[in-house]
Amino acid sequence: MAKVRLENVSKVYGDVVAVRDIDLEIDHNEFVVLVGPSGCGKSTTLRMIAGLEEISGGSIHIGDRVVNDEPPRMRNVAMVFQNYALYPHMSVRENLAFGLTLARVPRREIDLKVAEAADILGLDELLDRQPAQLSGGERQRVAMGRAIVRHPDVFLFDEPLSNLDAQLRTQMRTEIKRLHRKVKTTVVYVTHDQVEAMTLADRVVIMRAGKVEQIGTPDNIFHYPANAFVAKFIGSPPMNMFDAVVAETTDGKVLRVDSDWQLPVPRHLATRVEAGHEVVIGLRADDITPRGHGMPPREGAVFESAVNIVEPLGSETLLFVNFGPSETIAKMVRPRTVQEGETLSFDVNLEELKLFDRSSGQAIERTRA
Amino acid sequence: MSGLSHRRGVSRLLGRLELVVIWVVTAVALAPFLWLMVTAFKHRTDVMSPTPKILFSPTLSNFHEAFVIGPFTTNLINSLVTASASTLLCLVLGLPAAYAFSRFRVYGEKHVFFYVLTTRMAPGIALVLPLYMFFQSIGLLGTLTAVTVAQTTFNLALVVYLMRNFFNDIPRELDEAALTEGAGEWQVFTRIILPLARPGIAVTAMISFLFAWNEFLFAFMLGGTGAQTLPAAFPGLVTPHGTYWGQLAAASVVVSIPVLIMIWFIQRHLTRGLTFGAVK
Amino acid sequence: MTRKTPWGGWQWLVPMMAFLLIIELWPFLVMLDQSVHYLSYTQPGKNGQFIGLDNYRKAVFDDDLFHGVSVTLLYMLIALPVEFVAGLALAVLISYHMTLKRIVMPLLLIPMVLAPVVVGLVARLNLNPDFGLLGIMLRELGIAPEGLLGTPFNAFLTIVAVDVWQWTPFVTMIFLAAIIGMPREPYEAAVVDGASRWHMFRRITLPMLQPIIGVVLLLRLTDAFKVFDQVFIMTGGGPGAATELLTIFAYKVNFAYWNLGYGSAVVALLFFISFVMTFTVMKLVNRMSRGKA
Ligand SMILES: Nc1ncnc2c1ncn2[C@@H]1O[C@H](COP(=O)(O)OP(=O)(O)OP(=O)(O)O)[C@@H](O)[C@H]1O
Ligand SMILES: [Mg+2]
Repeated sequence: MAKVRLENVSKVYGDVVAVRDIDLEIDHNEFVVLVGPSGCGKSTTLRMIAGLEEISGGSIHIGDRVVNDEPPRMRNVAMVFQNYALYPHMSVRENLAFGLTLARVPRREIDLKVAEAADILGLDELLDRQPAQLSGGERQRVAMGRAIVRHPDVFLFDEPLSNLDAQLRTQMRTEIKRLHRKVKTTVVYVTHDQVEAMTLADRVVIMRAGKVEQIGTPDNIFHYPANAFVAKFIGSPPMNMFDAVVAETTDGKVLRVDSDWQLPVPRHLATRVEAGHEVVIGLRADDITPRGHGMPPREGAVFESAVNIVEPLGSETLLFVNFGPSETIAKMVRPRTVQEGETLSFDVNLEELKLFDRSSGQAIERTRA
Repeated sequence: MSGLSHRRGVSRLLGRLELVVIWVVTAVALAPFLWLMVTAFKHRTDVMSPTPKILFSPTLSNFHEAFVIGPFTTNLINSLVTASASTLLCLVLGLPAAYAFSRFRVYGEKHVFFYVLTTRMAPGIALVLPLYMFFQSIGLLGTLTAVTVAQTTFNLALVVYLMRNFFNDIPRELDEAALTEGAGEWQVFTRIILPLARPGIAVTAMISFLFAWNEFLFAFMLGGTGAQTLPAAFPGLVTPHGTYWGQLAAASVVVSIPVLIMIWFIQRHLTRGLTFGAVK
Repeated sequence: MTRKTPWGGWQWLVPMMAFLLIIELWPFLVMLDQSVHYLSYTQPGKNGQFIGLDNYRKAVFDDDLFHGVSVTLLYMLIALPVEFVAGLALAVLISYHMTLKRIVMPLLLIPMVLAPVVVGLVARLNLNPDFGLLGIMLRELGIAPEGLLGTPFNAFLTIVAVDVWQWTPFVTMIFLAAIIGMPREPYEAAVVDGASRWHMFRRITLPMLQPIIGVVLLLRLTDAFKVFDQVFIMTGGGPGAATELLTIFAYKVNFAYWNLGYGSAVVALLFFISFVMTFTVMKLVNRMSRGKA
């Protein structure tokens, strides 16, 4: 249980800048997830917090200490690795106890703590097995058990679920969340899976190319992406994006995608853009729905298109349809059979339309209602 | 590989031919040594027989002469002591170094490595003359210590290279896990790395033992008569009056037995061991 | 990937470096010091006198030393190519008969792990013209009735042959390991294309072996240069000086003639030669394998 603070932290390998001037404050018991595409510097950031990687600039605080020059063992953090890094020559029990024996905790106390951790994670049956005799999910749990027995100030996870199959991953995800509720600790969790990030995090840190793109609650990030990159990265299917230019017409401002395809500028953005502004329109599939499915939006636009591809996902169905010169994904929530080639009309929920400045990629902030 | 070896037709015959070649080569490689082994069990008259004797009445008299009447038992013990002690010393000195080379960015790593390597590439005589003068000056010439220390010099490089290679096979995450769990580097070394490298250490120790066990020049020059190892005793039986073939053959058998047993154990690792880890 | 540590990790090297400095570097320096002084049993009165580079000057013009260099060079020039070609051929042959590998390889490796003195003895016993297995056979065929170690030319060829006998399996072992470790796909593709075995060997096996060839070369070169024990037992450098390798010459100067001052200079030169040779070959090998990568 401790605050973690990164100030201007950066990491340089030769002439590769892996992490560039990151600022991040993590509160007591907060669950923060670092997410971003491969190679964006998530692991590096995490390893710098753990002390496994020297920092090239800035400073890292854990609690009220500056830990820049402290070796990992002084930091009282625990790390769960992608391949679990269980000690192959020790039984599960010895794996769990290792950190405590290093700290010269008395034998009886170790036994108690190991039993407690085993109980929390349901490892009792496995205590006398060797790591080689465990399944992937069991190894994963042992790795977490090894972290919790020590009651560290900070938990660090580096893609702990990525070696599990899809079903187990979902299950373990929930288990991690439950664990966090039970064992209140500060957690920094790295993943490149945005669903994991959204479901687990109190706050999500989205990184790209060594830099932080946005920090915020899952809700916040989903609904108010700070830029086109975040908007596209978070959410599934990815947000539909179209280049457009703002134009002034007799009906007011419109977003002109091409000469005969345009959308009205929604009210919440009307005062933010001027004619001639080159923008990117962002629309989630959720906001493009076939007529008659759900409530028509309060502020909307309608278009018609043939359905090119149908992708049923069970509870919802994705429809690939033409949107002016490009293709877009629409979502149909209530199941209904749709034939490929069928023509439907679609509602566009303008209230959720995002606009991004095309040159900077930054979101154009909406006016408060 | 075997699957792509043969197409039909011509290759039938060719394949047979190849087998014959392989077996002949193997026979050529083995026969002379076997002949020596057999000689060890022959009576003197059979050894010197002008028509090679395959059938003979075996005897242990050569072993008796060499090890019971002769001094070879002392030599044997000397061999055991120096080879074991030098192997142990090599491990004590070499394992921490190998760990550092495997895990850390060591200042001047390349230079140290090259320096260590010189002990392996330099001819024995280039090491033995300085050592001879050194031990003479400190009065240790002709002692087991001198031989042990000398044998350590040429095996140290092997231990460092080979163990670094074995350590490199242990995933770094294990160190890192231990480090975050509160271990210092020494604890990582003793509690994670060494236990996990046990098979590698065994292989390295065996190879190092073998080299020391087989070694002649250092033992011969530095051991004198006081600390003569088994190989170093060989020239003593090649006298102006003749060569004691029977005893030499018996000694050869004794020298070779541990060698043969060990290579049986480390077969799989022999390539790696004898190429300093360059080929696995 | 390596991590940083205080003192650049040198605290871990202290025991080893201390050992090497005391046991190796220091005596070596003492020997160098000796090499610029007079020390011999022929003129004890002059012992300890500083004579500068006289010993080295003498060495450079020493016909016997030059002879040693020639013998060593010739030894390597004949033995190594034979071992390479024969070793490679054998490796390829065995790779066609992998079922045999497990039986044949351990047997083949025996000569290579034998003590050099045993190797020397094996040779002497088998080549003995009166009762040696090979010696008798050769005598019956009318070849070298005085024994193979009896004449200078034969003796030299014999020590080379013994080297080939002992070390060809080593070359085989490494090449075989490399061949086994090769990816199957290129071969399978070649089989589909109907390539002959010779073609596969030339176009696939040989190119893929290239980086390994350098390693084997380096190891064999340094080892062949170092050869001493078995030749010492077999011939002691004779007859005459026919098998007097550089190492044996250096041994004799010091420990047969006890010419320790001059001997130190010879040993220093010997060390220098091996150093330069190893360094050069290592550079070449590195370039070779980097060129491949
Ligand atoms: N030891 C290193 N030397 C040089 N560059 C490195 C090193 N470690 C990482 N990098 C580089 O730093 C950048 C960030 O790496 P990092 O491992 O933090 O990425 P990541 O976000 O964890 O990616 P992934 O999702 O693939 O694990 C990458 O471009 C990587 O190539
Ligand atoms: Mg990573």
